[in-house]
Amino acid sequence: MINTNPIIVIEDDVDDLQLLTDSFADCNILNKMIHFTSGREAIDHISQSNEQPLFILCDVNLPKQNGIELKKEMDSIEKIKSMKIPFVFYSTHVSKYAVNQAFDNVCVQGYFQKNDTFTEFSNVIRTIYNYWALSKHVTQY
Amino acid sequence: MILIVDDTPENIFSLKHLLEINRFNVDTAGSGEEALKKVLKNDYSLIILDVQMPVMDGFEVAETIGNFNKTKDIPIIFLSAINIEKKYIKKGYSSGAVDYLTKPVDADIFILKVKTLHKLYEQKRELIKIQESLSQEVETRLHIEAELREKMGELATILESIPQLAFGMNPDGKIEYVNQQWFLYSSSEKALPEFSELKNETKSDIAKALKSGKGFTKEVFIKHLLKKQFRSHVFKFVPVRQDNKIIRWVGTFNDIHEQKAANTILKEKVQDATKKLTEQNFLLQSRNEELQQFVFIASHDLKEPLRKIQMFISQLENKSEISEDKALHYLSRIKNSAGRMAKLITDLLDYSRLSDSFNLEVVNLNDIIAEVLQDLELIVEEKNAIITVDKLPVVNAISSQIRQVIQNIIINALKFSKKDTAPIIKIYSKTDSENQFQKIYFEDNGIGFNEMYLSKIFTIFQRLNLRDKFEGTGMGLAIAKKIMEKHNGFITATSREGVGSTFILSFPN
Repeated sequence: MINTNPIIVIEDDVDDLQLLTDSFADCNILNKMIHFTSGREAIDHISQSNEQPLFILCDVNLPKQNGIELKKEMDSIEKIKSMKIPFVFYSTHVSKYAVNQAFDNVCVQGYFQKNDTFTEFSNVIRTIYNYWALSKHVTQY
Repeated sequence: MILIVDDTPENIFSLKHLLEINRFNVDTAGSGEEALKKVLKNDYSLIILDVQMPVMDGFEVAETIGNFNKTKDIPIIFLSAINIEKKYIKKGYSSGAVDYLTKPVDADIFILKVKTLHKLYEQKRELIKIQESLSQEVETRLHIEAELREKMGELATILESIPQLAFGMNPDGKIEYVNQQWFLYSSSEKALPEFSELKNETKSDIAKALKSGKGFTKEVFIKHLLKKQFRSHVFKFVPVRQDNKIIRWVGTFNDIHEQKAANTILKEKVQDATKKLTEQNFLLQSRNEELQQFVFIASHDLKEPLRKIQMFISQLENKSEISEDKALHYLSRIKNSAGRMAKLITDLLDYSRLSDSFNLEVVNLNDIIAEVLQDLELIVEEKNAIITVDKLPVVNAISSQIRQVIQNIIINALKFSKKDTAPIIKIYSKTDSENQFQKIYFEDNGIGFNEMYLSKIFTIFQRLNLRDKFEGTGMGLAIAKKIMEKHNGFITATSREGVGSTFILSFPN
């Protein structure tokens, strides 16, 4: 069975969004990509939608509310929390401090680096996608 | 013992016999010379002396005995058969005899007389003995007293020579002696100084010590009579023992007031120094954190354009059959990222240069604003902006830096204006109610922002809007904040989304 649930992307940078779109095509990911430039929009969408997303790919460094603050708010909203959507960070900056900040403050299912070449970038996207496409989810039963 | 002196052995024999049956011890001498030798050697209670003797007669013997100190008190009885005339009897008495008997003598009366004289003599000797022992006792006592006086004098000299207050106390708790220093604290040689305590603790300590025999040392406050202040002293109270018996107590008060005051000052100084160090430490710590955050943010934002440049290059390399359009697109993105990176680095350098040393000068804010507006003339015209400037105060500042702050604020006001509304910027000043700060207001009618993000707008590289809508590095307000802090002032803002923002600069008065 091909998983057709949409993938939610939260990314404020137009170049990175273009790269993601190219990467999805490169990996033959047919799922719909729903893109937001801020957490506010994403929260509004998920709260109102009846579609279960496959996973959320979120940039850490966002204007206004950053990724960690966004995840914190999502966890405080009962409806979104009960959807148990896998949440994955991807960011340019990776350091002990940054990764600690993410894993200490909120519960996330991964933290990936935005790579320097398109091939590597696509490999990461493919791995994340394959993993969550294979993984079982409570909403399937 | 009774001595019989006679040159006639028969006389001696009969007398000796008579006395011995009456239980007297008897000694005898056959001549005056022998008698004198014997009286010097032995102790006699009575001497019975014949008058008529060859070489030395009885009178001479009696006189000689009377002249010896040792024998002068021994009673002498003359006993004579021949010299019975009155002149001899007179001579006998004047030579020191107590009796002059003429023979024949009645044996009973003679014995009675001997008994009486013997008894009298014994009593007399007893009396002398008592007298002697008494005078010896008196002498001993006098000696002890003299010794005591000497010791007391020694103690007094010692106590007088020390700088401390000192007193001697007898085991009954009566003050016996005080030194001169005492009178600085007590008006009487019988009373202790006034203590600064509620329940007379020290006096009961003294009473306890007198009872237990154990001395003590403690800190007390006693009142100086001239300075009229309680001064800190170490009070030491110790027993003086002689032959394992406490004969006296000695107490001293040692003034430690200055010492304590010096200690307190030292303590305060150490506390001050520690406080300063702690403050500096805290400052250093917060600087460190600031720096760490700076490095974190700077490295993140500098890396981003770099990564993109690498990414687009890798895409150009990988795709051999890439279209020209696509290639040109990638190249323009590379150029864009490189430009952005250059701008970031310039801004960062500006920001870090703000820490350099500086000189304050008198700055006319109206002049500065006029200069800034002249530089921004083109944008102002393009946006049809209306800018009003009131008369502003003069402040002490670094002119070039304040210019940068004002420029950043005005540029923001023009940049974040509403799409179809001409920007209106009002610049005016107020003095706060406590007169501590000169406040300069920059009020606009732009898009505004949610005050929830107030702290973020002053942090480096933080932007509230997407870059493709409003270009910028996110450094403008961070630089403004740092400059205001350097001037011991601060920057803040109030805003409402869709209505406008007001940025406020506060300069210390």
